[in-house]
Amino acid sequence: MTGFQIPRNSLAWMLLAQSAVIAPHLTRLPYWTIALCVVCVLWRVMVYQGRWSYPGRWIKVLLVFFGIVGLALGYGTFLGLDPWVGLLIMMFVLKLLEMHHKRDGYVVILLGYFVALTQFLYDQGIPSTLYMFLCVTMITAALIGLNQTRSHTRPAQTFKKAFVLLMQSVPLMVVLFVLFPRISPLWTVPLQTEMAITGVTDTMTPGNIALLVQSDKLAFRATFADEVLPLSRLYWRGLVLSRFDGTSWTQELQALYGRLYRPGQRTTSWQDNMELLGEKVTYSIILEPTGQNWLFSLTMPEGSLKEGIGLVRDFRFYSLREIRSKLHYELTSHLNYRIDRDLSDFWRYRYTLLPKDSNPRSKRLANTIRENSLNQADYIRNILRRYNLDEFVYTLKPTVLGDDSVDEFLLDSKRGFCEHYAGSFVFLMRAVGIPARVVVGYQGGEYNRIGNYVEVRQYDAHAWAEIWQQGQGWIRVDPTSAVAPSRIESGLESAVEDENTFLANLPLSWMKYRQILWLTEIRLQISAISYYWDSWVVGYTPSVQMSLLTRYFGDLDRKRLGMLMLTTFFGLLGIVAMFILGKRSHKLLQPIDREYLRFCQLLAKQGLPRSVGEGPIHYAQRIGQQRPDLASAMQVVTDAYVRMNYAEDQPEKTDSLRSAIRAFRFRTLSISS
Amino acid sequence: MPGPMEETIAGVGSVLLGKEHQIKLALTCLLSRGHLLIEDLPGMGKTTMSHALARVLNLSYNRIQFTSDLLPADVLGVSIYDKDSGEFNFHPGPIFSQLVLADEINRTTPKSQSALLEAMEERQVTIEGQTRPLPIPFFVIATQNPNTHAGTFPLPESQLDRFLMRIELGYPDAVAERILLKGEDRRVVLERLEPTMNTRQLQAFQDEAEQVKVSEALLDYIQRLVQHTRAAPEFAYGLSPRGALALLRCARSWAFIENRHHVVPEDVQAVLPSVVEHRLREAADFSGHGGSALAQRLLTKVDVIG
Repeated sequence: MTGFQIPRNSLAWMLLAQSAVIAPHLTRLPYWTIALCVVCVLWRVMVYQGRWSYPGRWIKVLLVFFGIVGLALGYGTFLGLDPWVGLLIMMFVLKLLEMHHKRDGYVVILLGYFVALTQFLYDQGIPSTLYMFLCVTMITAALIGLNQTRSHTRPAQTFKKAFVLLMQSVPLMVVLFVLFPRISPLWTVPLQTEMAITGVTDTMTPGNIALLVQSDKLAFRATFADEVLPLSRLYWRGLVLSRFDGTSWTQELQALYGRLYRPGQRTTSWQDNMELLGEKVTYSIILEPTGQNWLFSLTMPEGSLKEGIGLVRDFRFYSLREIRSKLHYELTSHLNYRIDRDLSDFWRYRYTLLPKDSNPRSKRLANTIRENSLNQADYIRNILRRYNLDEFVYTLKPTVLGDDSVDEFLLDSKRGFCEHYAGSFVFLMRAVGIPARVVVGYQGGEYNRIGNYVEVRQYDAHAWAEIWQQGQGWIRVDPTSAVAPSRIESGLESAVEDENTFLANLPLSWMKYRQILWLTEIRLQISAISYYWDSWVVGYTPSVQMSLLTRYFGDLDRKRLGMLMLTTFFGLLGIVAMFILGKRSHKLLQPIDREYLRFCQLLAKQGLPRSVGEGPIHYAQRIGQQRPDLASAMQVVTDAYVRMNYAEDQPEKTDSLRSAIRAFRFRTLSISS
Repeated sequence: MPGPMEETIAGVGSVLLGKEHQIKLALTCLLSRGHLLIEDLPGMGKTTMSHALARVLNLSYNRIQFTSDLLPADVLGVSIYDKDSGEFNFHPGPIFSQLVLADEINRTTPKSQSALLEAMEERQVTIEGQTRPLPIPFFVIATQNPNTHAGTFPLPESQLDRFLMRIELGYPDAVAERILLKGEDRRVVLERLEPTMNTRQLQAFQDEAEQVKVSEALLDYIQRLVQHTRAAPEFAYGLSPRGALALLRCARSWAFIENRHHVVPEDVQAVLPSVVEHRLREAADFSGHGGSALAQRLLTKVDVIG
């Protein structure tokens, strides 16, 4: 074994950085790996103190072997991200027991940077980024410490140096981030940015949206290109549910299969059923990961999204791949539209289909009301009036319903949330042969004037209905607005104000304290910052980069982008270099020194430079020996300089020195010519 | 004007051959009213040089051989009871002399070392409650063997600082050595040396050396040097203000010996190694022997103009 002893500073920062870097992964690691970490760190400290020695080869082999086996057993698989990150961390820790040489120290530090990087596979938020900056500073401190002598005993100094170093590199980092040509990865690992995924699901059973709105988690943020629409008009369509089994509503898979429509790909004809009339609105959405396939949009959306996302039969966007990371997309929606003016018999049958024996009382009720109505429109009005005038209650605590849920809701309990109203309304429509379907998504949101966007959270989840009328196509009807108009106009909180159930099981949620103004202000600020982070840092994809750079630099290809990056990069370095060099000449030189230094440069050009620290007299002597022809002229200059600079205190008048230099110059010129 | 200084150098030089630079440094130290530490191997002419200096400068001379059993009283003196007069009579020690050669100072115990060093600093001796001034001028030349030799008590940094300069004599060159080998006994030559000045003249020269002109530009240079020792990482610690003052004083005396009325950077550079080497330590070196490399680096890294 060589006697390499790692410097104290380096070891201290290495161990600290290691703990800091591993900490965010703790919840994902098997317990025994944590024990292994602790043992390795302690062992290394003991080795440093000279009490223990490094483990022998067989112990190391056994540790690695059992470590890998343990990981395989612990995770059950070596597929996916977690086991590999676990393996990396384990090797990172075990390498501590093998630091025989300085080079091993470098390996540990390099692994540290690597492990720090893996954290971004799980979380790319601001807090996590700041934390990783701290970790990277610590690792860099270890790297600096590794190159310091043993007399540097203050770890804080080393950390400070690392911090300064990193801060200095921030401008270069920004240049690389903005300009480095972004290429799509060659392969993708399924990233697990969100573990527990919430949001609307593709099954609507009475009670499940009421459960969802207990959460204040962010669903998405939407930015409007122009004026923001009033909240009551923001119906974010996500899912269309049209199959009913008596209790739950599910998607019509017929509407999905192989029907992704992309503009310019006019193979199907159903999209011609969309008539767009006038008013339209453009907006972009940053969707939080949902783990589902559907996107949210206002009616009727239009736009071209990336590969694998397109419009489906019921006019909403659908992604072939599950959305597991934040998704940024831009759409134009036509607020006046007419879709499916004609409905084929197949679809007409589908949209009026009800299970035969379910909810008989409701069917009877529907028929009675239909008989008492003049026409379909009157019937719809009567139903809505019934919700409005009868003793229906809009509540977050609906009664639990049995098999014939519509019957029980409409005729017995009369307490329900939006899905009860939407579901029963569609049922009543279908019962008399009006094609109808349930739409699930979000309604409203909160306008953040700092970031100028609308923020939609899980408690904005909503369900409403669409009915089909001959000649008019699909029309949105929201039965909730009949029973609780305040839900649509000012959101859930005011609609359930009386019963005090808004976010009842989240006593500390920010959202509950919206009436406290300064708190709201802070919340909006934080939200706006994280919005900008999402849209400009996390969402800085190749296409965003291209469109941004094209806006400022005109058309760019990869090559020009690379050139741009390199020029900016080295331009920045050049500025720094000039700043450093400039600092030196910034020091105020006395006029006489300036004259003399110019004289020295003159000689340097002749191949006789003055070395640093060489005094003028010694210089003159040396030149005199090397070039006897210059000796006397040199002596005159030197005498003048020394006299003025060291024998007098007022070296402002440089005339005599100047004339001596002039004489010297004349002499050298006459010699060389 | 050149007379006495050059005569002095030539006089000492006739005994200690080929060591003009070192003789000039010793003289510089004396003119600056400082004490000199000569560090070299035995037999390099340390004693010869101090003896020759005492002779040409016409100073009373005493030599103290420091041994491990030397007591402070052996240096300073002692009161002895006189049976006849019934009183204590003070018998001054060898330190009561204008030029004292403290030979092999690192052979004695710290207690005796500090007795000498205190006397050097205070220029007076206090024994049994009575303070006795030392003669004027008072000049100590201490010699020491390199610390690595066995049986020595190395002087700590704080006490090294009491010496204005530390020099090494080094081996003579071939020519000088040949003359030495061929010529007569140096002790005989020593006996023949004639004084070149008297004590009053020496003091006048000391006063004059203090008047040598120092310009702002030169002070800038000295400050840059000092600043470099404090900022550059290879220095364990920087020069103290006392060290900076010492550098300036020595540069003045050197300029005086060079017969100049103002100090030039070359003067500073000439004295710098002997003034700063024993006051500096390399950061990577704990034994304290990196000083000379540091001084060289100081000279080549700090520019004269800037």
